[in-house]
Amino acid sequence: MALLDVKDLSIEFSGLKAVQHLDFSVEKGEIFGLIGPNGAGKTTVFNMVSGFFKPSGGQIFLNGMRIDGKFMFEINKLGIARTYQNINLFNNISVMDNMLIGQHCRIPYGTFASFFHTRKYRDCERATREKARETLGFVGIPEREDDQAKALSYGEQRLLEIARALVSDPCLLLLDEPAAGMNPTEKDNLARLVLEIRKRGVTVLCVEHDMKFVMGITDRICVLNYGQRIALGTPGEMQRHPAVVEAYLGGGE
Amino acid sequence: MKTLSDKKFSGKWLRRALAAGIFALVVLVVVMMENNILFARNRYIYVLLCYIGIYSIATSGLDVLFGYAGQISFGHAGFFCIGAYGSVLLSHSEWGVAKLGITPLPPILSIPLMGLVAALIGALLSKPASKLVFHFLSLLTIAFNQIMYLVVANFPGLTNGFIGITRVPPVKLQLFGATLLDFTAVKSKYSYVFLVMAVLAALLILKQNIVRSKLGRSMIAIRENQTAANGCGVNIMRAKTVSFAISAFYVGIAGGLLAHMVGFISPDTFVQNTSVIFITMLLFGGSGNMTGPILGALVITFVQESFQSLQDYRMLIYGTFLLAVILYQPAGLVGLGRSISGMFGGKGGANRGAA
Amino acid sequence: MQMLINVLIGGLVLGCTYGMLALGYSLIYQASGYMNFTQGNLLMFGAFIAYQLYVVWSIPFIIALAGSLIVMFFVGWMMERFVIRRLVRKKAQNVYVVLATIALSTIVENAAMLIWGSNMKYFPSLYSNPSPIKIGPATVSKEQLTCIVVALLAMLLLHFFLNKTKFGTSMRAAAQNKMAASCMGINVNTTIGTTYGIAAVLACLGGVLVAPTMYVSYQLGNNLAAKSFAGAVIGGYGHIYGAIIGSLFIGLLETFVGAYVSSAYKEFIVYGVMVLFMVLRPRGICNANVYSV
Repeated sequence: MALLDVKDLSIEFSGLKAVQHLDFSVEKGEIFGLIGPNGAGKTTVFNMVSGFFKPSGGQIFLNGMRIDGKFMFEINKLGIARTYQNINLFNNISVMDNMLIGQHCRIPYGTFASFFHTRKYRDCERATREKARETLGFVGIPEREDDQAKALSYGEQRLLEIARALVSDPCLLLLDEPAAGMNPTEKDNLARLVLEIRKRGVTVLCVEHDMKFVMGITDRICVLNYGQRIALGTPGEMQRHPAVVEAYLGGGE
Repeated sequence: MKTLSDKKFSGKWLRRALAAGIFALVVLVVVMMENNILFARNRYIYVLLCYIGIYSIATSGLDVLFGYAGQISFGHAGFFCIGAYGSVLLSHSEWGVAKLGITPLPPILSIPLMGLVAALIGALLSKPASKLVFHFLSLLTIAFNQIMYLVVANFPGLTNGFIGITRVPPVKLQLFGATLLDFTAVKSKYSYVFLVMAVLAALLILKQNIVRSKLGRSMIAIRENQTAANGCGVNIMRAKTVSFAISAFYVGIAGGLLAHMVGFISPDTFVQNTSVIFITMLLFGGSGNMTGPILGALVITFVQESFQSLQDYRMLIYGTFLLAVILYQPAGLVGLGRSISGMFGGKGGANRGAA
Repeated sequence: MQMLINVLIGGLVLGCTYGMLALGYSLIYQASGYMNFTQGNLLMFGAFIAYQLYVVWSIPFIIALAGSLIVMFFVGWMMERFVIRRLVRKKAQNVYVVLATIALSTIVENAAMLIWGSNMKYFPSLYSNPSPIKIGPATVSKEQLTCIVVALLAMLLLHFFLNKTKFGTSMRAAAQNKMAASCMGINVNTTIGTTYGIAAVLACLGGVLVAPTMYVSYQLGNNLAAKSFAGAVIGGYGHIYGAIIGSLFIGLLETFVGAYVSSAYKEFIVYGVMVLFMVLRPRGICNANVYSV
């Protein structure tokens, strides 16, 4: 059974068919790429998988369970975490606080403990902070723990977003254009980080424009154009696929 | 590894010691005044302290909603009303439940009970608005305020209408008929000050606990970035509803304390203007932290008392205050303090985090 | 039958007044995405200015009306220019803008109280022949009919202005997408300022029309505003035609309940219906876009 199964997915915005009858599935442990020209509907697909939009048609299955139409926070609890195209951090609070919120659905104490700071509260808080530190170290920004999120550099903010998504122990991580705005060194580091993430047992679904980045780390790629799937296969196959080439470079002449 | 957490830890204890010290000082001053050790006995200052304490409780509650969860309510005077009228009707010997033949509760019980009722009503009220665009909550709270005012003003059989209810019972702690603590004192509010301060201290500790917990963080998350909060697993609707209920609880308790202090309530206290005054106090003092609401309550109450002669201009002044604060210093007095300390090399700027 | 017609006319008068306010809310919400709580007190202030001009200074009514409309247009424009725009430029959060409008509303309300006192003021009849008109078996005052007719005319005029004139179209464009509009050469600041001005004019018109049928007092605004919000929510908040439909509905509902059920309960019913809509059909009658989750 595939980890993520997208069947016949469609969405319409006031008559504009942004995504039409999309089918693909992501196997556990894969690094799966979703590419296509601008406006192809890639982020829209992400938004549907993560719960931000409700699809007008089709189904999305996570480990066999239907998740389309659920709230974002429910889907997060089920094991999908994401980063955003435009960085969506909690800007005015510290990096550590961002990481603590990221784990929100995994913290086991309830309202009573919140009000009265019981022993359970203290133990859970300690464990949560340690986990946060560990993840910050994993992505490479352990020293920034106490700084305000908006004080971080652009590259560090992107890493923080990834760390915040990782800290909730997702089974599927959605990365929305993670390499945007990065220089080649940063991109190499990012690629290595994604491979490390896969080693931790997290499946990755990645939208990206940078071809070298995508071809370099993904196992399979799905290509979208005008909201429809035009190709699905390994990176090598995609580079030779005529429809893909046409979509990116235009036909004719 | 460098233990930054240790540094924060000592900072936390220092602040706690400071807060406790200030409380102890206030208590000491009040006791000394009463026993003629310090200045001549000026009874009016006790009333003032009670008002400051009560408004601090209410403003702290509103801060949980606005400063931490980022939601706005223009009708919290409605919860003030529920706390006040509710507690009176439950404990009065002639009005309310007494009319139905049920023995009234002692105020020491009816005040917290009505606080919980206010919380429940707050939860019910904000639930439909929690899924909708944020201004629906504003509309709902305005309507709520209007409705509460109409209820207490237009049903004389229940609440004696515009005339109000007098002879509100005083607060005593009694067990099996024996009086352990008596906060009455009709002539002077000296003993009542202790009650208000004790409740304020307890509720401030509760607020501090909430803010530093998972619950508090969920509120801060929806204030900062609702979409990201959603994506991090925070149940947005629940966070909004819970923060509203908590704020309603605080304001309800404050209302109950007010009723039993003054000994008299009437509908005029619970109009829309009172909600605006709460907001003015909160914004003026600074929202999103522990001291701001208290500072705001302190200063605005003083302003109110000092300018008794300008009573008619009161709301105009508040409105202008509020506008000025919003335009020029939305972080309030606390924000001003932080930027000044920032100028002197401290960790300035507004880090409106869980601290 | 007679009572029915009276109640109907009374309901329409109220409905049109709420409509003037609700239209203002919708226009501002569409243009800038903010709620504006000043509308109710702008209505009251406009009514007072007209009172001052017409009753105290004995200027002919039409000129008094025009004068108050012009003054209120500038008041609305200046509020936007000096308060709202400043906050937007500082990228202040939504809550602060809304709070600023509340503060402005309080200032306007209390300024009116201080200038004109706290007593209710009454308009003398607008017509030299004040006898009421007969519709069927019922008698209706001329002021009431004037209110309804002029309000409906104003709504029609607004419709034409927004849809058929160049400036109106540019206003709608800027409301939908500021960036694109300014790229097309539309001065977005002007259009937004004008929107606030028009909203203030509508509020003022509502006030001046309803005042002769009721009374003028500094509390008039708050009372009407809260219920016009109910009308806006029921019709679909932010939707122009929804505002009108919802307001007429609320006006009629309130008057019917007040007449046939009980005067004390009419407010409860109005707010109750609003809460009902919020819970069961938040999009309102005209399907506005209201969900945030």
